Formats: sequence, structure tokens, C-alpha cells
Amino acid sequence: MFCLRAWQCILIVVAISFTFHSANAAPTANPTLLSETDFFADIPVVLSATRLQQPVNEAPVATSIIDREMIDASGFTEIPDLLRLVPGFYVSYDSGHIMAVGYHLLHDRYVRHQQVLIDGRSVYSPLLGGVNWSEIPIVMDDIDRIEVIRGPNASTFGSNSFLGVINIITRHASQDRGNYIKVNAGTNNYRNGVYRHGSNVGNLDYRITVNYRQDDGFAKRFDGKKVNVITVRGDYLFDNNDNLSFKLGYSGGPREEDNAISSSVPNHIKETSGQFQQLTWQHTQSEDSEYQLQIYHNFNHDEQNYPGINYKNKTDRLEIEFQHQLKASDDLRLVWGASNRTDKVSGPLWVGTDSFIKNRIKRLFVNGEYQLDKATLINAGVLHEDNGTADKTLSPRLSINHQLNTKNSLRLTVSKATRAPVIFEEDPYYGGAFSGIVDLEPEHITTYELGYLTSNINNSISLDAKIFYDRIRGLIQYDQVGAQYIFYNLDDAWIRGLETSLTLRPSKNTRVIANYSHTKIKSTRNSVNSEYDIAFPKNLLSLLVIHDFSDAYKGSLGFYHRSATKGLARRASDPRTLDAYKRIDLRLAKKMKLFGSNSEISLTIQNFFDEVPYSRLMNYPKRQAYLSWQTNFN
Amino acid sequence: MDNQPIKNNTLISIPSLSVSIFCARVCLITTILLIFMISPSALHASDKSLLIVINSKQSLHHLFVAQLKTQLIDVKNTRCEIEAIDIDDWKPEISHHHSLTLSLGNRAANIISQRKLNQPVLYSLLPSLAYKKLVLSRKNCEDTQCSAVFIDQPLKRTLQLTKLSLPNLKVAGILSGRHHNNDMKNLKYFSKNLDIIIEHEKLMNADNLVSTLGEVLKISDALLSLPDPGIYSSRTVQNILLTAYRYRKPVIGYSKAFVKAGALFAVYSTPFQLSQQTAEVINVFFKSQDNRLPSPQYPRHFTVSVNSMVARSLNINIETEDKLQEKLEAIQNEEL
Repeated sequence: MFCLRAWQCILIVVAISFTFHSANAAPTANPTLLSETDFFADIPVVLSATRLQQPVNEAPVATSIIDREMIDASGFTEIPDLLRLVPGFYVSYDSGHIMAVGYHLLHDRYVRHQQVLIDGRSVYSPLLGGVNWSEIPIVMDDIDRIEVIRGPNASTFGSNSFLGVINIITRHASQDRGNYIKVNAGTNNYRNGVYRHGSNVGNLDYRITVNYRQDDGFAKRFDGKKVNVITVRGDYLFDNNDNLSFKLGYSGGPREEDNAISSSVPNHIKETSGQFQQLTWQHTQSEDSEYQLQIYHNFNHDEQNYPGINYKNKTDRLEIEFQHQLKASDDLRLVWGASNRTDKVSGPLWVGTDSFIKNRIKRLFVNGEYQLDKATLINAGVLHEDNGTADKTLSPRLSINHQLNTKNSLRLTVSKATRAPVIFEEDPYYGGAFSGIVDLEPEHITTYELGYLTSNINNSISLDAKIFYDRIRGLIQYDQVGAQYIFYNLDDAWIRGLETSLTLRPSKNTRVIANYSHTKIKSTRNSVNSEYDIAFPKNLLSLLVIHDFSDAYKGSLGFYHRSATKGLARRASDPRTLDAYKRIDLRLAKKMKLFGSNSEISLTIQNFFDEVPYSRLMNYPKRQAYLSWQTNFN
Repeated sequence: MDNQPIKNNTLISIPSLSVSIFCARVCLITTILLIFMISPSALHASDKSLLIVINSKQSLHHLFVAQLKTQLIDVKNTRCEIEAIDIDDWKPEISHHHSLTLSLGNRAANIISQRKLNQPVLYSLLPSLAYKKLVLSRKNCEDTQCSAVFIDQPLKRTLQLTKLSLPNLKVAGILSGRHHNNDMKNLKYFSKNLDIIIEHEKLMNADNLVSTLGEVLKISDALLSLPDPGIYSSRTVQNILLTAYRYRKPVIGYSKAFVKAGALFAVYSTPFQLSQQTAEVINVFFKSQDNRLPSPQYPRHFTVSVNSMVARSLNINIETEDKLQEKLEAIQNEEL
């Protein structure tokens, strides 16, 4: 693979960017006098339906937004941690580089019940269904916002939108001009360097970002990581009605693997690499009609060898998707589309072969939003999915949003979704330990949700609350039969709870975001591995306070609490649940002019009180601190 | 038509015949010679003839002329001869054959205003700033009359609509280019009366657009865009709208296209409304006893556009276009 070392990446990118830069260095024409064309010239539709985020009080399902200010203020260095800022999300680590993020359920490290999209590209693993967060070619600094859909929404977001959807949106290339450098260094051998260059050639805006980061993982474990990432994004404007966006990325680097789960595994190195290519064409037919055609390809390759065992695997996803958004009448907006996806995996240990096993998924979906009267909005959608690992399924959703008055609204949602087995569940091998003799059914969920949103006149207080009930049938779990493990649709679960998200803006300089969730799970226990009833903390609380002390100084405080819950990879001999845990993070930043350019220096301390609970995997961070310096220059 | 001024001129020279036949002959010959040799300026235009000078490369101008012609016919008692030519074919002599010249757009204004004409000129489809810089500053309007129907809205009207649409708005941010000076004095005066604080930032380097805009947006409730080619072009609008959207702040636009692209609302005049007002001014001119143009004026007719999708997405409660239009018209009528 190209770009094995960070410094090589940086050299290449710097060289490329300077080439572009010099080509673009011609002086720009003097601005002319205002003329009649300035008033009547056509302008491309920028905030088109696909770029606009749906207002939270009109969304068919509870939705949370993590914006750029929250990302910066949190001081988090990995994307999954950001989800601590969303009610009902629990973030755990299997090792220093394997993160597990769960909504309503976090049973094991391969969390299979969420859709994760980056700019519309689905990144969950076709092999195991979870997300290899540390292997995704994305740099946190390029993220514009993360929209988190709390609840099933398959008809809009496709397969795997079972319990929730994490929709990561990166900035448009035109938003990054000039050069940006960030350097972080801290305890635990944490280092992070980002260089980004953005410019334009004619109607093409482009951005190149390189990132190198490393840390030593958790204390007493061999689970450090070194991550090299390079991403490129270009946005080309053909004319006022057509634009083409292309994105490329590569991520790779060694990960340390230890024997925390199996004592027979010696410490060794896993080499990872992932890449993607994505092309999106948008055509605006009119203000009321927009087409989008997208094609993307993901490829991941993990090499993990030690004497006797070869964990290597390759996964590949190619999807082409068409979408049409239109305003059919003043009261009715529609989105419909179709997609065809091919997932491929190989791995002698995992699926018993070095050649690819294919799974084809075809989707057809339609969503409508109908304004019944001034106060009532009806959202309805349905997805038809033809998944190679399961029968054809239909996932419908219906919701009614009713505005009681301008500041209070209610939402009632019923949504059904399915999760088809991933290739490893359908066709497992694992060195012969697993057998895929059962014809698996997809998992089914029906969710009922009642939401209430309120805010005061100047939006200085806003509250988003919901009560919900999830009924899940046919959770896929393995059980031992004789000498073999077999995946079955073993268990059912019933999850009830309450989620609230409160945002306060007591002054222009202060923002407080408080999230709380209370979750109760009832489930069957049809195998020793079925521990769904304890697979999520009953209470989760997060609090982020952001305050501008002055134009130069900014501070933030994060408080994260979870109640007792099952630890990842629990053995029968371990305590049934881990003790409750809380953590406080602090950050102080100062803006300044340095060598004539805007710079910021910050200090972040994570887990300030150094609370480290007992867990089998020793997967809780000690107190850590890092210094960060970032600057922008032309 | 070409003969008419000559006849008129001949008639005017008739009293000289009474002095003496000799003198008369000399005078006549001299006059004819003068007419043909030197001086088109001695010609008198017909009572009601209109010359429209356009930039024929712009479809907007053709549309405007077509609309204007029907609107002039609609106005009672106005019968005038209308000739439209491209600015590249224009010579001062042609204007002298017409009682009024109508100049459309910047290019025509730039060329026509460089010459001293002895017939009135009306400028239309022209921004007020361009009128000031191209026409008034050249001082060729002193002998003859000039006037204009501006293309841009009066600042006060935009601010009034802003207050109507966003009653809670306290701070409006403005970004201006290096070479462009919006009428900040007037803007601050009007905004003070409406209880709006203006935060103004100058963009010195186009590469800093996003960061400079960020500074403005941080302290503002909305970005008030004032037409300025140094800032707002079809290329930069994308960046401006995306940045403002990232800060969750609305952009107040100045054209229909801007609203379509993602600005929250705008007040503007359509080509139809501008040609209608231009026709009214022409009518006043032809009807007046002394063929005088009324003074330069901002558009009287206007349209309010709202992007309801953007309003919804930004969670902004805004009245419908029709209601805002009605309210803004009421305010304007009150002031008249």
C-alpha cells in the first residue's frame, strides 16, 4: 500500500499542494463595480434539501447534533468518544484501538445494530457488522457535524439502521482555505499531527488532509496504535445546477494486540489498512427537485499473524445509489431512491477462504413528508430490502409531529426495521470452531416513541425528551452445540426508557449541554452468551459546559457518568456487572496571534480525578493530559 | 424620421429671412451647411422619441425592453417612437435625434456618461452606487438632465424587512470588500432607528473569507448581505452560505437567486417591476411641459422572497412571503 509512513504522506501532500498553489498563484482580477448582473445572475443552490439538516422538531425520529463547537470543546481525540454527548449512547473500549459504541444495547465489541455513514457512505464492517472506528480514513478536524438518529430509520438510511444511525458529515472543500496545522502531544505517548491544505483551481475546490496519531493504549495492556490517514476531497461546480464531489482516503498503521481475551494469544502486531473512493453527482433540476447519484467503494485489509493463527481478512464494499428529492406540492415532499450494493469478505480464519464471499443487497426506498395542517406533519417511509443473507424485508416507519404552539411540539413514531445477518453470522468458520448450518432470519425491531420538544422564546433553554419502547425479535447469538458454535436467532429483548437532552445558553458566552438516559432491558437468556438484560447501563449522564472567558480564553468541562453494566468480554468468573463510573474532562484554550497567523493553544486533562474502575479488560483510561497547538495561515 | 429635425430647424431659421434676401440666402446656405457639416447638436429631437441603449449580450436587457414596450403602450396618451440599439453601435449623434435616451445596465452607463449630450438620459437597471461612480462623478450631466431608476433596494427597506421577519434580531453582521464602500453612514443611521446593531468587518484577503465571516457571525444574529461583487459572486456565495449555515445563522439576501441558493429572505425588484417604473418615469417625462425627468429613484415596486426550507432547518419562525410583502408595503405606503 502507498503511504506507509506519516512523513512520506506529509511530503507527498506538501509537494502536491505547493504544485497546486503555484498554479493558482496568478493575481485575481480586481473586483469590478456592482452591476445589474449581480442582482439577476443565477447562483447554484447551495443549501439544497440534501445539505440541509432536518429541524429536530420535524424529524420523524429523535435526532441529536454534535456540532463543531462541541467537538472542539470536548477535547476528545477519537470519534466514538463524541457519542458520549448524545443521550442513550454508551461508549466503551475493547482495547486502546477497538471502540464499541452502543445505543440501547452494547453486548459485545462487534456492535452490529447501528448504521454509520460518512457523507452518505456506509462504513460498518461487512464481515462482523461492527465499525472499526480506528481504521476509518477520516480526520476528526474535517468533520462539520455529526447527526445522530436515535431510533430505527431504515427507510431513510438503509441497512443496519436498526437501533440508530450515526451520520458523519465532513466540511465542503470550499470551507477550508490555506493551511492548517495542529500538533497535540501528551501523556501515554499520545501524539497527533494534522496538516491540511485547501485551495481551488477554477471551479474546483479541493482539500488534502494528512494525519498521524499514536498512543500507548491502556495501562498494563499491549494495545497501542499508530494511525496514518490521508484524505482528499474535491467539490467541482459544473454550472449552477450540477456539482460533482469526489472523496478519497487511506488509513493504515500498526495496532498492538495482546492476550487480554485469550491467554493463548501472544502479544503481536496487527497491520491495518483501509481505503475508499467516493463520487457524488448532484443535479438541481429546480428549487423543488434534486437528483443525486453516488458511487463509493470501501476496502479494508487487516494482517494479523502469529505462529499458528492467521487472522487476516479483507472486506470490500461497492455501492451505487440513486436518489430523487422533490417537492410534489406545497404540502408534500418526497424522497425516493434505489441502491445496489455488493459486500465481499475473505479470511481463512474467519470465513474459511482466501477468496471473496459475496453478499448482494438491493434497496428501494421512499419517504414522504406531508403537512397535514399548519401544526401537524406526517412522516412516512418504507424500505424494501433484498439482502443475500436473508429474505426480502420491508421496513416501514410512520410518525406524526404536532406543534402544540411555536415553542412546544410532540412526536409520535412507530418504526420497524430489520437487520440482516452479516457474512460472518451467515457463513462463519473461525478455524472450524463455528458452523453456519442454520438458515438465519433477520433480526426484527419495532420501536414506539413519544417525544416532546420545548424551548423558550429566545432559545436559551431547549429540551428534547422522549420515552420509548423497543421490541426486538430474533437477536442473533451463538451457542455451543457439541464441539461447535452455531449462530441462531436466539433471543428477544424488550427495552423501555427515557432520554432527555437539555441545552442552556444562560449568556452569550456560555453553553451547557446535559444528556440523561434511563434504560431498562428485559430479555430472554437462551444461551450463556445472552446477557442482553445487563448489556446497557441503566443510567447514563453527560454534561458539557462551554464558556468563553474572554475573546481569547475559552474553557470547557465534561462530566460523564454511567451506572453499573456488563463489561465487554465478560467471563463467567467475572462479576456480573462493572461498578458505576464517572469521569471529568477539562480543557482550557487560548487564542493568539503567532507570527501573524491565528493560533490556539490548549491544555486538555481527561479523567481529571483518575478514576479507574476494575474491569477484566483493564479498558479504562488513567488521568491523561495533552497540549495542543493549532494554526491557520495562507 | 431623420428628416423631421431638419424641417424643424429650417422653420426656426425663417425669421432671419426678414432681415434681407441676401442675408437670408447666406443664412440659409450657412444653416444648411452647418446642419450637414458640423453640428448634429443643432438638431432638435422629436417630441416623443425614445432611444434605448442596451447590452445585447445580456438576455435580461432584451426581456426588459420587451416588457417596457408593452408597458409604454399601456400608459395612456403616450405615443412615442422607440428605437433600441446595442451600446457598441451607439454614438452621441444618435441620442441627439431622440428626445430621451434610456441607458440600461453598467456597460451602457459607463460609455454614455463619458459624453456630454444635449438630450436627457435616463439610466435604468443600474445600481445606485454605479450611478454615483459612473454618471455623477463625470459631471457630464450638468448641462442636460440625467436621472435613474436604481436596481437596488433602499437600505432602509431591507432593514425594515429584516425587523419584520426577525423581530428578535439585535445584531446584523456585514461583510464588505476592500474596494467597495457601502453607505455605512446611512446604514448605521437607519439601523439605529430600528434598534439593530451593525457589526461591520472588511475582508482584506479573499483567502480569509471563511475566517473573517466566522468572526462576524460569532457576534451577529444574521449576516446582512449587501450587494458587493468583491464579496458576493456565484462562486463565493456557496462558501458564505455554507459557513453561515455552520454557525446556524441566517443570511439575508438581495436577489431571488440568492434566496433560492439558501439565503433566508430578500427584498428585490423583478425586471418587470423595474421596467414598469421606468415606463412610468418615461411617461412623466413625455407628459411634462418642459420635458423634465423626475429625480433619481429607488424601486417603488418590490417582491419579498422567503426560503421556507432554510427557515425550517434553522428553526426560525418566519411569516409567509405574502404576509411580509403586505406588511412591508404598508410601511412603505405610510412613509409616502
